[in-house]
Amino acid sequence: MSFKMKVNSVVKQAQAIFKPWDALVYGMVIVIMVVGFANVRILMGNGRERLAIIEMDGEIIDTIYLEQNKIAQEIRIDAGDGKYNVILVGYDYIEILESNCPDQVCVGWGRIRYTGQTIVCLPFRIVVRIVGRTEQAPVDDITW
Amino acid sequence: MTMRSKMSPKKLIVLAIIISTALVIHYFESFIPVPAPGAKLGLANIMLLITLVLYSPYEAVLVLVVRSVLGSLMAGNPWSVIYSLSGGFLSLIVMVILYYKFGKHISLAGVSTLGAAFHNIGQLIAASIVFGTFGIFYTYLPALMLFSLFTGTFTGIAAHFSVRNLKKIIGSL
Amino acid sequence: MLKQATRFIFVLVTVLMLAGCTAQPEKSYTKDLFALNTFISLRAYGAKAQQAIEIAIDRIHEIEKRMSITIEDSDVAQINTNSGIKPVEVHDDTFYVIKTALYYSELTKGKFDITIYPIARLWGIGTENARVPDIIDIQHKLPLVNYRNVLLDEKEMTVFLANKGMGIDLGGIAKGYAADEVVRILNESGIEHAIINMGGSITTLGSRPDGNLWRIGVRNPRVQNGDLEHMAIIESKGTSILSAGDYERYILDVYKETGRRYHHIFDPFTGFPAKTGVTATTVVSRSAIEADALSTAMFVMGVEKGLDMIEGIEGVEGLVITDDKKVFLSKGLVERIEFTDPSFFLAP
Repeated sequence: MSFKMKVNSVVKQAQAIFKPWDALVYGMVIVIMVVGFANVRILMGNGRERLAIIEMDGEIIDTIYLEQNKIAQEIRIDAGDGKYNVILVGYDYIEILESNCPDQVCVGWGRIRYTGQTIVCLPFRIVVRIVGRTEQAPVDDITW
Repeated sequence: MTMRSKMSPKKLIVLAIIISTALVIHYFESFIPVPAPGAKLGLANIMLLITLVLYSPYEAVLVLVVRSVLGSLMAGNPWSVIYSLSGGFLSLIVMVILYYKFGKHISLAGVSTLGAAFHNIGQLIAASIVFGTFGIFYTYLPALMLFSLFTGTFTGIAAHFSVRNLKKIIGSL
Repeated sequence: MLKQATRFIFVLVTVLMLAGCTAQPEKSYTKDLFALNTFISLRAYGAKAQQAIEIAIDRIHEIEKRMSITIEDSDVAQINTNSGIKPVEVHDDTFYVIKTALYYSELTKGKFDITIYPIARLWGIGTENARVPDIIDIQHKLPLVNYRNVLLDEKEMTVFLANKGMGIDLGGIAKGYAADEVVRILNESGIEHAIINMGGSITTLGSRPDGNLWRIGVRNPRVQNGDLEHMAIIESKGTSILSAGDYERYILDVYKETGRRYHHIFDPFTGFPAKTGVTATTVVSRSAIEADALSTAMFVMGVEKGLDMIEGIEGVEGLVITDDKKVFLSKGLVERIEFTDPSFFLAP
């Protein structure tokens, strides 16, 4: 048989098997698939996506995807009254580089990289925290 | 529920063959790599579907339960019963509804596809509960849905042709 | 026929779903807040986690209301205002914390002393007024620092600071008390696994939910770019681990100019930040309040006397890091610690 005829006979066979509402079924499965996909992107990030949140007084004032920074970037946070923090964001870490807060605990903190870790600037009530998925940290928490 | 008197010997034999075929399919399909933990292609759904068509939901449940229990005993892992049954039951309920209520409008391929989809959904739910995080559910859902589109259609078509022939064979026994 | 089958399927599915519900692994609930003049993070596991943590947070606020030095009508503020004037009646938990503080002052021979407050205020470290005060001012305030002049009356539940101008700051020790209280509350609520970070001191309840011990990092006091933030890991199950060091709260300007760190851990005998060659201390204890008092005392006492003291106390282990990055361990800690930064070397 020629190619065209083969295609035709396949189509005819398919027509014999499939029925009208099959389209609904396939549509439903595709919808579920898309919903699942969308959820993964939004809720969880893409597998190992590092997302950092900066909070002041409990309110989120900035969110940053770490992995997008091939070169480390500086972000300046103003806490009002001339108070500021400069945050350094790299591709897998975030840290407070500089601040004019009185105790400098946040500046000496070092870098955080794993989900759940936080840097706190007590005097300015600023919290930098990593959410989103990262690998397991080697420790559950660190003293300070 | 009343105790049914044991079924006719013919039925018993046919069901036994169906169950063993399902077990064999199950065994071989476990060698095919799947993108999710504990999930299966659901090719064994063919047998479930055939049972549904040839007999009734009651027999299908029987096949499902016996196949799942024997399958996990054979595999040596009692926990896989939970995965099999959770997926299997969800899938069966869906297929029963589709086939009996909408059988005129949906082909076996469609029934089987949705059945396969829900089989996987059931397994993901079981895995999420066991592992304690719902991340598992969303992570594998899309890939498994895509899979079930294909396996379901394939199974359905296979069932479609098998049933026609089987009806003739069984009828003449 | 279909009806029967459907009913049958329904019953079976319900049974199976219920069976599945019994295999519930532990979910966690985390909450953090600013309180007690610091940042607190609480994480508990289990079905009652959220409930238990909420009760714990209420208790933290209650402790803060009673023991904070900055809240006007707290027990502590009233005690300080009435120094040299009259005894002040306080709540029993405040009384307990002060009594415990005095006990540790006795134990550490005065190296830990909550009456250091007038000196601490003079230096203003951690505030915008941080500066090196005149030695004359220090000499002037030094006599006010003496834990023996804190007079307790157990019957009346009163605290009296004998001399005018005296002041107490429950600061760290109140945090330790709060941590112990949180653990008590979580425990009473049936929680079996929890980790609490109370302003940098870490207290654990039980083990991790997967059965392994909690892994707690000891902060590297001199973190440089690219270093790991922790120089060692200590495993913990139901213990408190607290570090005290000169790497936080020091006078920044002076440090930038001269490289000298005037930090916030004062020697009650000199009125100056303790200068014993110690950079940081860490204490592991079953009680957070003890860990706080001892880590501060160890810092002031220096390596030898500090470790001797630790060795003499049951159930407590300690670690001292000196300026030259040497690490000294108490005997019991040697087996339980894992070093992660080779630039710190273990002294014999």
